[in-house]
Amino acid sequence: MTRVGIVAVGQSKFGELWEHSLRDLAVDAGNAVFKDLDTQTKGNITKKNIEGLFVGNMGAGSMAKQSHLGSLVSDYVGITGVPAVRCEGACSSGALAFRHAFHTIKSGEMDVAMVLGIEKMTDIDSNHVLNALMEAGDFEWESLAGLTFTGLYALMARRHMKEFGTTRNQLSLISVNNHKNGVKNPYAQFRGEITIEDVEKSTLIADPLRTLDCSPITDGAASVIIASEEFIKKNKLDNVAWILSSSAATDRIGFFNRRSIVELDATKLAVKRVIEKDRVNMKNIGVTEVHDCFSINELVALEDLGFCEKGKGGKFIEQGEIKLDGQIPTNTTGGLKSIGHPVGATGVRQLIDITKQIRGDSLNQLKNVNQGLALNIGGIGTTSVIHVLGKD
Amino acid sequence: MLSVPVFWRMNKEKYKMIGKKCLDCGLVIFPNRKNCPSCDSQKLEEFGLSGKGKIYSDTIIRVAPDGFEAPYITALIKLEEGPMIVGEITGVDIEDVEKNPQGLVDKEVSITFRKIMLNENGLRVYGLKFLLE
Ligand SMILES: [Zn+2]
Repeated sequence: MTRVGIVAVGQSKFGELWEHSLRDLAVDAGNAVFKDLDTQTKGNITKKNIEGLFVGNMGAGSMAKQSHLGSLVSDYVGITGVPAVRCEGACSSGALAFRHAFHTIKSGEMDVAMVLGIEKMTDIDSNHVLNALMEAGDFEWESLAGLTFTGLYALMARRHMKEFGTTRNQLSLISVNNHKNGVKNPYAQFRGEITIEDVEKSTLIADPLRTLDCSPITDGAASVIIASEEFIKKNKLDNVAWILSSSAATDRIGFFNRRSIVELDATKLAVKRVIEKDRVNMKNIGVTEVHDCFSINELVALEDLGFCEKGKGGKFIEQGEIKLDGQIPTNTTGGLKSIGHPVGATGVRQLIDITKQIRGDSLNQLKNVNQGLALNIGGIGTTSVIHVLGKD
Repeated sequence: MLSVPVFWRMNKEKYKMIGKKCLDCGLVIFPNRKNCPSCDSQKLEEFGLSGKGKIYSDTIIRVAPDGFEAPYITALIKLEEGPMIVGEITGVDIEDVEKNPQGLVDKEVSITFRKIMLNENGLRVYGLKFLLE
């Protein structure tokens, strides 16, 4: 079967963009990815080559009163006529849309496909956003019990602290690192550095998690164009990030039904498939994007992916291993915390930032990166999606 | 807006704590399912739970979704028959709980029935909450 590579990337600004509608965000990401396509292919490949569109979106029905995004986005970005579909898996919708596009090209059905992740979150009141996000959890037994997503991750944090001695300070270091990495990011919602004191003085949202442990409510869209190896070779495209692995796994919908609440089985299952099925050597991963919707989730993700031992995530972070010069530079452009978290767009945005590290045009470019891994999580490890990209 | 049957059909579980027990593998199932999540059997019988359990993890919700009024304590409760469930802990002073970094972990609780939320159409939704023993 053909190999598949990312040939162009582009995104809208991320933030509280009151002047932008859902469709405006799609157009901004579309125009950006088409501009990059033009640059990367010296004008040889255009939107006319696109044979299919995969939209990642969690909640436009609840948050923007709009469904049928396959058609809406294809219309507004100017590729009407192509087959298009919306993929939904809560906050992992973006990576799932990418994964379906990848499979379609692998099957030989298409040579070039577009993926666009999008979320418009500020058109409704923020307490209604909380309700909409909880649609990713168990409605009957979590939402109706008054639980929020911050609440779910707070339950995880408290238990992780109890079982492994994880500290407030260690969680704070995660947010501090993400903000530091996001300072130069022109697309980021927040571009200011923060201190440990800032995190620890910020308002409690769900004990022990505070405002600065949480990614914000964000509007934004992100897009990539992927193509088959035959197409890439025929058109002599270089500077491609190849998809070395695509892996996804699910867990039971209710957090109360899990084997463990301090490790996420879906992530562990997905990474096992990356290693065993796609033969990725985790030692070759030089950069990672992990889903820091809440500080504790970044810590648990680093453990579940095997970058450090279970329970040692706090120490690993304390030792600076996630910094740009650490053992595994993590969220090098700011993560969900600084860039923002338009839920359906995040998985695609992570792949854009790994692609740039592979191509060599990241705003915080690392040296000698050959492979990078992105982990996009839906719910609370309810769906985990991993992609590994590489230079060859 | 949710209609009355949504809440009505959960009566047995949410008002009486009636779950299921798998006749093939013996697993106690709560909340209810039609198939056993352990052995996939469809041979399940009704099984009443005691409503007693222990707090596994808890948090104080300070920013509430629509229909709820913060602050309140929400916990994962490990019921004595085995299943875990989410529930609000009522009848405790939040100012006392927030001082303890461990929250209410390992405290024993038992069930009570209270108003949970006010639905959009003014429907008062009742359900289970927990009291410290
Ligand atoms: Zn069974």
